[in-house]
Amino acid sequence: MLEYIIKRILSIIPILIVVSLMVFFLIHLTPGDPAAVILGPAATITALENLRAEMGLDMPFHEQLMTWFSNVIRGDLGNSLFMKKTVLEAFMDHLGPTLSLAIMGQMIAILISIPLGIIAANNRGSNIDRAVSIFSTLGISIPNFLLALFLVLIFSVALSLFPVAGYRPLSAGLWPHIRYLTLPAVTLGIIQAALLTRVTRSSMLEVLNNNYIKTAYSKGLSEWAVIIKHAFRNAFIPILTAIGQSFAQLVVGAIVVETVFNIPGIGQLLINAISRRDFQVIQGAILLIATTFIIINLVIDLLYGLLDPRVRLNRK
Amino acid sequence: MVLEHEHLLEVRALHTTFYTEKGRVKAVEDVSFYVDRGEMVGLVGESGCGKSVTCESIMQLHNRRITEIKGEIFFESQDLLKLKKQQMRNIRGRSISMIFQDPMSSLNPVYTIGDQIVEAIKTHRKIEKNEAMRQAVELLSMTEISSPEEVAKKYPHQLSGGMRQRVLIAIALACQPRLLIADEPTTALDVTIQSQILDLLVQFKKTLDMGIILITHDLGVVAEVCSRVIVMYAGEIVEEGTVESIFTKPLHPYTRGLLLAMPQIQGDRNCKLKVIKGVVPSLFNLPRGCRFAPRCDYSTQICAEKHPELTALDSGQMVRCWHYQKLLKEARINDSICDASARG
Repeated sequence: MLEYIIKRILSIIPILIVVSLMVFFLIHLTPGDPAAVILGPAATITALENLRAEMGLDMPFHEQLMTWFSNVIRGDLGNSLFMKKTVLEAFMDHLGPTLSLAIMGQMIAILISIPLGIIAANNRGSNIDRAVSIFSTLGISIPNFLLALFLVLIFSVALSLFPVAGYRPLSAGLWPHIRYLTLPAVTLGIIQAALLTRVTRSSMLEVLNNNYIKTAYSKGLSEWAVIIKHAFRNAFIPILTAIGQSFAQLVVGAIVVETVFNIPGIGQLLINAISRRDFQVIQGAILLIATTFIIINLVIDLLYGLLDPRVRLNRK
Repeated sequence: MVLEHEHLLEVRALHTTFYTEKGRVKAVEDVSFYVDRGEMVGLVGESGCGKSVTCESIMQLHNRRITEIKGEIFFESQDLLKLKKQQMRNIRGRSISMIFQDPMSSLNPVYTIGDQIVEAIKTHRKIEKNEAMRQAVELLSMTEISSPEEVAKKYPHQLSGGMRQRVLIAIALACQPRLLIADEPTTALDVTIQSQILDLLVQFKKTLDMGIILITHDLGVVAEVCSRVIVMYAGEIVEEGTVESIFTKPLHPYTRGLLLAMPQIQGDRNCKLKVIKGVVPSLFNLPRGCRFAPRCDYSTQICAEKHPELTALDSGQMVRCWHYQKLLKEARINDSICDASARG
């Protein structure tokens, strides 16, 4: 098991290198001059050149790359071109809301999707199954900003249960924090749930066809004991993969949802950075998001080992 | 009321119908048979003939939403089909156990062998986990598995097919059932392991005084361990009798075909094995008359038109064929030829 863990951890290093290279190229190959953006249309050519030199944008491409790369390895993601902050500081400032939103959204998604998927699989072909599949089709096809606006219309405007937009940090108290995040989290959660319900249902169906399910029933176990202890425990492995991958979806969703609900999260940071051509922030934020994603998947890989003895005992 | 000659299991007019997306399938029709204590009964037929469905109907393992089971299944004089869910759960694993065909996939990959046997014990008896584990190891050693303590700590993927089948037998025997249903327990195993597993079943039949239903398509296995044989074809019983009578004078052309399809050690090895021509009819589209008629050498007009009933002979043998008397005559001639050659 220890060897497996070490191997998994080492394997993320090349992935991180490739990701950071791609981030760099992506940004530097897109048109747009940050110096021009900062100084505005009235800037003189000399002023532009001075600023470019100051920012290191006049250096040859490969030198810029080397500088950035060696800085990244030392943990220095550079300074924001517009904010008087380092990229890391800016990222950390905006991380809280997004993290809260993602965790709440994912929790809602899991709480909805896993029971629904299990019930649908266990009643395959019934009306319940059909209702669940209608829900998941709707959830997958509805755009998230539209769902967000519908929820606001119903729960904020009509019923006045939740605030229309805004954000309260956890330091302002747990209840306001949750109250402000409920609608955005439900928006994200429903869309995620639609996806995870499908995965849960198909994974459960596959497991329920296995002979060991018959063995479990023939022992005299109750239906729920068989479903939870024997079927779900096995079906959960692919579901876990889907949960890990859905975090990427969640970040994308969060950017839109944060904009709709005016939440000062990573999404807002990125949108602002992109519109201002704040290269350093875009680069740094994307790299940090990618790293988070890789780490989540690493944790999930390690959980596999816990869940599945075939993984734990066979791979050395 | 308990009768003197009460059978351990008596199935009467069992009909099992599946309602699938493609339509209604009568997988088992009008099947009646019995099993006594300490007796091993062979249930024989090609795949898809309804032998597994019959046994899973006894255990009621099918999805209830799409399955209709009609008839009576008396086990120790109570009709299993009239029991409530909870009562049926108490029977499964405690009074009736089942071993499945494929040992490779019949154990849950994420639990240890010991835990899976303990679960079978603890479902029906309130005992301490430690005590249950001790019994699990004992059950494993009863199945002649080597180093049972270690095996109990292992996961299914670390064991061979033969060992997994022994584990499944240990699970099935966990509560000392009165009836064991073994669904092709040796099909997936090596020949040497096969006979070891069969020996185990014979031994447990004696020590626990169990009734065993052995589902198989291998007549050789039946001849070795069973006392009676039930032959099924396309969802119904076509012949039933003692092993001796079925092997010496099969009265249904299908049974005869099965016997002739078995390779013989004695005799002309160069001659080709006789195969039954054609394939099992689809259950969606069964012949109107005798279901075997399209494949039968003896088939005549009546076979195509009228469905034959199961007829009981004086000897106790039962057969579903319009022409069984013809086969009976042929069997007698064969007998006399054999006798003559034996004398000569």
